[in-house]
Amino acid sequence: MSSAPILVRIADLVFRGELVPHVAQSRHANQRQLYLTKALLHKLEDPSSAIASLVGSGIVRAAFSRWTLGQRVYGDPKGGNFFKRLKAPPPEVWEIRITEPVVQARVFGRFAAPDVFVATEAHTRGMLGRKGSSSWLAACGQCVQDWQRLFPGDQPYSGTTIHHYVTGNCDDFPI
Amino acid sequence: MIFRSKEKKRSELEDYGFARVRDVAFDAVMDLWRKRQEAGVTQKDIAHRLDKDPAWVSRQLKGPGNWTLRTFGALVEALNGEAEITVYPIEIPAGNGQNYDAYASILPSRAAYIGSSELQQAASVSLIEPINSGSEQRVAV
Repeated sequence: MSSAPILVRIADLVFRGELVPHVAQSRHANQRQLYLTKALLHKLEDPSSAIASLVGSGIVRAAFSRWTLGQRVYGDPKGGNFFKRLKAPPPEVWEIRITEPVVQARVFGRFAAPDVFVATEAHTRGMLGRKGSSSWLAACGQCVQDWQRLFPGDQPYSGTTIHHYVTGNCDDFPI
Repeated sequence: MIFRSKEKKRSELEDYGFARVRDVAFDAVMDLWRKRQEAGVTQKDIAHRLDKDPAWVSRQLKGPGNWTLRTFGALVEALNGEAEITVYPIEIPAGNGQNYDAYASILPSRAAYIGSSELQQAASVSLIEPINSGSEQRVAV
């Protein structure tokens, strides 16, 4: 499946302000793409949001920079992965796991193409409760709704190994 | 609109700077750890050298954690490595021949977004194997 149409759609959404690219300031060029919804951006910019006040927007943005700058996507068969594909249904909902500081965060999103991630929302880990709880299901459902609003009729990218999603500088871990 | 450092508040700058440096330190240690693993070194060996519980070592190598400089230094020594730290001015492009820009097709004029910054610097941590391996990793923050 060609990813060209969805990338054109992303460019249009960026132009219209519906998606905001995370471009890390660095001496190095950005190697991967990350787009944030307005809702997620608002959480990062609102000092009273749980993400900003309890986790720290800087911590979350640093995780984003790890991704866009092409730095190691770490992972281990025993867990502790930077990225995790959440158990379906719904399919193809991923989380970026921010496990430090003490109040952890999870950023939800979907892959539009290899090395192109669209982050729709962020929650504190505590708010989500145990895996499979109604809060988790609601967060996954919201991610799908956001995706469908942004990309009506387009499915997220789907692969079978982590290396289909992350084409370089990535540990080998099961998804 | 694009995130820019000058839009960050002071606490956010601190958090961002801390997390970026922590990530670079973690990646540098992990690069050497993978090489040592290929040579047969185990987490138990590291634990033994540091007189720590193997579970402690496992936790440290799982992901970028709340390392102190003491933790970083201990792991570097236990891996028989040597750290070099360089802080670069961010406005000077990395001279690594890497000119691929993932956003080039989507944001052809993105240079306009990236102006002056409060963070006019970048840091890198290199771990150099003392034994003539010729390998070196540098990652900018």
